[in-house]
Amino acid sequence: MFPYKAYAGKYLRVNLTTGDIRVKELEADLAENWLGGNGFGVKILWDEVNRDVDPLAPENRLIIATGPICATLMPNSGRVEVISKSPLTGIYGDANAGGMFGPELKFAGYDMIILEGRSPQPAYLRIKDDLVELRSAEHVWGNGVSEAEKLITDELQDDAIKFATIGPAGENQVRYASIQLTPNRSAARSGMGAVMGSKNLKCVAVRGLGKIGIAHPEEFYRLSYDAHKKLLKNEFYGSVSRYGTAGLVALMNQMGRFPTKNFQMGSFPYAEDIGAETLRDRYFVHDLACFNCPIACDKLYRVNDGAFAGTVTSSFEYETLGSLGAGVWNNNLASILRANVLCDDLGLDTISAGRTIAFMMELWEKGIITAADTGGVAFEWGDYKIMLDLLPKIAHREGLGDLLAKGTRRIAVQIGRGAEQYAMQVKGQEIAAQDGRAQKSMGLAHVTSTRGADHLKAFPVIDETGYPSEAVRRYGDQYMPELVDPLATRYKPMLVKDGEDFGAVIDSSGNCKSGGTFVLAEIYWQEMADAISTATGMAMTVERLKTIGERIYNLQRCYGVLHGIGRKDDRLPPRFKDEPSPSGHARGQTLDVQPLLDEYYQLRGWDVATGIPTREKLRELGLEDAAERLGIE
Amino acid sequence: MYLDIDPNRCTGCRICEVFCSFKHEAAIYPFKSRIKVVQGDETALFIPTTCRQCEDPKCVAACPTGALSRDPDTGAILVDEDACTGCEACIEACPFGAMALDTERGVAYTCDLCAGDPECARLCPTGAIQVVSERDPIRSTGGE
Amino acid sequence: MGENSVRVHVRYYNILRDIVGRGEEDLTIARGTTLRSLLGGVIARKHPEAEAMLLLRSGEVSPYTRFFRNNRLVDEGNLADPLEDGDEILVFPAVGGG
Repeated sequence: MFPYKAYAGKYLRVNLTTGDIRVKELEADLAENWLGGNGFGVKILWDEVNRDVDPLAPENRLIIATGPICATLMPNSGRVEVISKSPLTGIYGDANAGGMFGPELKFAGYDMIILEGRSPQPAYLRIKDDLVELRSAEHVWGNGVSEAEKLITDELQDDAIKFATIGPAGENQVRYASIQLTPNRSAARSGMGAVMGSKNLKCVAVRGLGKIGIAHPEEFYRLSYDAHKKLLKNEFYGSVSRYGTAGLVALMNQMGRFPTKNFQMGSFPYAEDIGAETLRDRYFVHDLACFNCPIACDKLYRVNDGAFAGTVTSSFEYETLGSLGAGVWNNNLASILRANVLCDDLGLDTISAGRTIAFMMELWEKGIITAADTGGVAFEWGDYKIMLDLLPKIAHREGLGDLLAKGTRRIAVQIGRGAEQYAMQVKGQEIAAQDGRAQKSMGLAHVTSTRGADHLKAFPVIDETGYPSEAVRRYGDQYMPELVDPLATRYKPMLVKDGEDFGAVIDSSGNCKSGGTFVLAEIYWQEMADAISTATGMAMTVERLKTIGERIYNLQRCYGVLHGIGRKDDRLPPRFKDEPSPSGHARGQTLDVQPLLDEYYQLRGWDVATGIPTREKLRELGLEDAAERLGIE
Repeated sequence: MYLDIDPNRCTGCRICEVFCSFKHEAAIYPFKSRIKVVQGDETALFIPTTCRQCEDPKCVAACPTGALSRDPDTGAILVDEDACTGCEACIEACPFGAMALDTERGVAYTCDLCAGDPECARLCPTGAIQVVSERDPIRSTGGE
Repeated sequence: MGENSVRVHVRYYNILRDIVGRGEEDLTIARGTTLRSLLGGVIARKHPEAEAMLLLRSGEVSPYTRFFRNNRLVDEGNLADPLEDGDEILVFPAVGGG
């Protein structure tokens, strides 16, 4: 019997080729060493998906994993992780989402679903507590997410089902296709939707009527109650709760940290048109929250007039205002809302989709592509009609959409002619809405992220503009003042490494980084160790938890190394070093990550020349077998 | 006492379900929560739904064994589990769907106002659930 | 403008906008008023509901609030600078993430 509480204690192995479904008891040592979420995911990928497996082949695994804190009393406990080998990068990939799906899976009695193989016909996985079955999805295949979920809800006669669904983009294996999770949250990065589409799986439909037990109820209740109340009093609560992540636009714009025109600039002259205040005044309908979250940063928006009247959307984030707004020089806010609807229903990552379009616009501007290449489509900056026209074409791989569906790295290779330098990607994944010249730690984070360019693995928040109180609370006085200076590089490798290790724990536990762990910085190592030990009954100390975070991150790196990743790949596009930012607080700034990498590798205990974990480090983390497999002496 | 519920403030977070179920069932068990967030429509997206401590409780009237009564201090509906036969007459009678059957124990259950300190109100982050001593005449129907 | 006063334009963002009740305003202040006095004295006094967000209990400017003066980020050292006619001040409450 699985010895710990707070976990459901079971998981599912589903072979889509054979239709075989197994309920497995969760292994105690898996929980003890890898915690859950992305920890489980990387361990399974390492063990089961070797170097030669194509991400879109049946042998790849798609893992949906919650964690011990998911569906418990701790605030922001609604998160679930999706892990697979990424079709976009070819290395470790994952995506994280909030909403209600993760908790429902736990209430159904499962911590994780491991999917392998490929269904001979389009199928969906239906779970209702002990009932687990594969059902035909032929009647819903081809539909957008919304319609597909409506049809299955009718079919199963249950309007309380929680879904994880792909749209046409996933079905057509667009390399940055997302998985959408009830209610309209996106597990968007790394192309997890394409993996699901390659398995001929339309969705997972879950209903969970069970319960989650707690090992030490009184203590866990007390610290959870305190955490809920602390969040409400946190300095960041007011703005984050009322405006959501859109509240970042104006401030990041001032900092020169709002990538504009494919990162040519860090500020958008029309930022006010797409900022939080305009958005709220014109289109706000209602606050929306994820499971057990007091912050409720999500909003329902509706466009009531103009060309996009009738557009209703939620999960409309800073990133999307960046990638489908400033990034493509588009200040038509209603068009960005419309684009959000399209991406959510088609199942596309708004970040990679927007960055790919911005890339094409820069190539057009530079004359690297012409009407002959685009079939007459003029990729003019700010032309939101092209953006709206292209998104469905990308999802259906029609015309130009087929090229764009590959992502910027592959497009650059295909086009040649100097296109590569304008592909704003690291290891194949497009950079999100942060300019590394305006926040040096984030530039490093983009490069050291184990899933390719991404801001959330390390998620340095305290030095976006610089919050000394938060910095001192987490790290003490010793790194001040440079630690909170966005333009300084001193101590930033430490900030990035600590963020990555703590982030690996958060993404293994089922907590939310936009909640009390990173943005409202109330919950840190000690709080998480206490939460995990009182909830599960597992003996958990800060030291042990830090080791788990490091272990997870190191194995994700090892998985990259297995696929040829090393120092040579830990680099930003040349723009960051060669083109001083013209914008805002970052004016004149450039970023060369090389010196930062030296220090980062040292802190990590990795070989400084190659960027590969050393045998000593891997042994220390109980990963000596990884050193063997990678041929590390 | 009564729970004054303003659906306009509800974000659908279900913190009430989480903590109510934990208090009563010693587990995170939204299915057994005495308060449930029901999906509404455009006029009110989320409606936290629970017992309203009706002036003229239909559940009490419907109960054939007299298992239901009112708490003299809080006004909450109380279930005498020895007298309750699980016949579900109260569940049928409640106009608000606030009564439920505990299938494991074979008895009815509903909101007991947590003996005077409602947990949902304690945790609700938006003030969508508040404890009041008198009903809002506009918002509450009290079963009439 | 009178000899003894200057006029500055202030913009409020995010939750501060809601607390103050407006997104922007012109303020006429005494010549020589520093940024610190503008925030702690003028604005906090005019909008007492915003005081908790702008100032610490000690009266010092809160480290959680971000200010820009004519698009330049204000640091602690700049708080003692005297404001000039036509200055534009942006005031942001704590916001982060993403």
